[in-house]
Amino acid sequence: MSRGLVLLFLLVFLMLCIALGLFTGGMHLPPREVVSALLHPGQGGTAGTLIWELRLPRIAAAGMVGSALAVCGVVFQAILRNPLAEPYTLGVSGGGALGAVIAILLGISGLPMVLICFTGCCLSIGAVLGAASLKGFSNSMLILAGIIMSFLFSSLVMFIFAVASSREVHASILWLMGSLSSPPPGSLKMLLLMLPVMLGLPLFARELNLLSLGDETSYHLGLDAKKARAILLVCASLITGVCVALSGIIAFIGLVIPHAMRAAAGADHHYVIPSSMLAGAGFLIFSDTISQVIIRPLELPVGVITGIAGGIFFIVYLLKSRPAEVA
Amino acid sequence: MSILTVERVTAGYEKAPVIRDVTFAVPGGGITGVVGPNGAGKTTLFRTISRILKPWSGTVRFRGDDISGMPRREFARRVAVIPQFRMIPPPFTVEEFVSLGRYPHTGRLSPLKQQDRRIIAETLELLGLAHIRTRKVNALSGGEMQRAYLAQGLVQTPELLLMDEPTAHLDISHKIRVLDLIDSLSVTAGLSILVILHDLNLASGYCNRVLMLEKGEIRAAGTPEEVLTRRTIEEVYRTPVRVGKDPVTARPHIYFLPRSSAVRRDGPPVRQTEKTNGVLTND
Repeated sequence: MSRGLVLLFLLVFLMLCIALGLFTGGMHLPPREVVSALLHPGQGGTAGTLIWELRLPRIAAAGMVGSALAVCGVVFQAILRNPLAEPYTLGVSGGGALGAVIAILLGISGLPMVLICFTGCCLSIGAVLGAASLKGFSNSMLILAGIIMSFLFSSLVMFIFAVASSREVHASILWLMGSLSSPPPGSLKMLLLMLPVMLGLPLFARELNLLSLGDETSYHLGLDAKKARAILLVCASLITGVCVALSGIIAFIGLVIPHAMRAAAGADHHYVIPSSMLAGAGFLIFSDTISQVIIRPLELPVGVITGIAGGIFFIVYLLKSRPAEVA
Repeated sequence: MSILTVERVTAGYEKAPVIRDVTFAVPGGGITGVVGPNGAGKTTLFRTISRILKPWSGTVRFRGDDISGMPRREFARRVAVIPQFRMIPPPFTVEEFVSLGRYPHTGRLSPLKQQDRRIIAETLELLGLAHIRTRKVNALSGGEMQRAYLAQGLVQTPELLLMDEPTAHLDISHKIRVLDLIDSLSVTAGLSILVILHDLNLASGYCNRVLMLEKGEIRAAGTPEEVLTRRTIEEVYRTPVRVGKDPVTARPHIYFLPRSSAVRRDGPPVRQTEKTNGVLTND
């Protein structure tokens, strides 16, 4: 399939997902009211409030988090040259989880909880990148440091689970599964702050192309591989940190979408990055809508949906592709 | 004038140096071959010249300038490095993969210009890759992959091409094809080439100059006739050989003798060959 066609297809897919998110949700709303609320923004009423204050912000958050996780997955897979790499490989989620669990334990919620969680993410990013930089910033060191840090943080989380009350444990587990149901008021602004960094990543498509050939080849072609890797890893980790802080650990998007886009659009990051952004946004908006309606009136954590859908896709993809194409 | 000079360079990894006090010059134009047994320091020398390793002491100069002070992209515009192929690249198309070699010539916001595209198209044509330009590079055969790497280096439009074992893992027809290409580039494009080769006969046939390394030091340097002598090869490789003259190219040709034949190397069977072919010498 030609690449222009892939991008066009993804754009249409994203539009359809946004429309689906607007017309369906936890509460039933007749389509005519949705259209009228959309056409008259200041109108108020149940439909107006539902559309402008609940559904649209939630679609915006899902779109931004989805495309951010997908594009971070692209960056991590290219830099670590590991098909299993994803935004959480370097242990960002571990720090975030610890922060969130501590906040829940202390009864903190809303924006302060998001900030504590983001602090946890930054701590683990700092620890992993710091440890790896002592050993020449090699891929194996980065991955090992990430795994060790994840283990360390999850052990601390387990420790807290062991001593906390069952209500707190339940709240924590729901958070860990990833959800977009209640982003606190200031959090959309945090996402908007992250947006310029995320939209800056396509400018590094050339560097990612070279880095995916290996450090030595990229060095021979005139790239400062160490510097490019450091900048991209810090940016992608911080973006992931914001996503984790706002929506918990949403599984599989950062792993599956980059693979799917490489299969559809090839390895050139000039196409993989924009197509992953579109696909990630559409996929998370779609999954989030499903999570609201599938066991109505209850809501499923969106991480459950992305995990199941992503897992099935990944198995099919692995079985259908030849070994050389997986990498 | 020499395009590359290596002056008293010592380099290595961790504690022990692998190459010691190495001095030589690569003349502009032509092919210079580096030969030597495993562990002699060929790749360490290659990595030092290509700036992956920093020399512990000594200087490498490109057209008189110390390469350690050269900006990275400028170095990449003038020197192309093709390491021994190891990694299977991600599924770029052949054309995309080769185009990445234009990186040092292009800016972040300026995509490939018409001139860049012309160079890429010409190189694909020259290396016989034009008809497979849309194939995925990770699905190529060993010979095609080697040519794709070579093409990527050539679109850098370098003055000096460094290659580590470009013929490794290739069958004899692909070996000859790659070396013929390199040979014709050195003549038509005036490209200077430094190449590590394991096969002494290929080095003899294609190189204008040969450098033999032994235990991190230069054992011999000069024309193939000066370097590839029976005595030097037997001492460096600790293997019995005979050196004759190739009847077609008149360059030295090395005959390797199995150990089993070494015990009777002065005996009748070999002598008989000497007499009948008249090409074996006992220098």
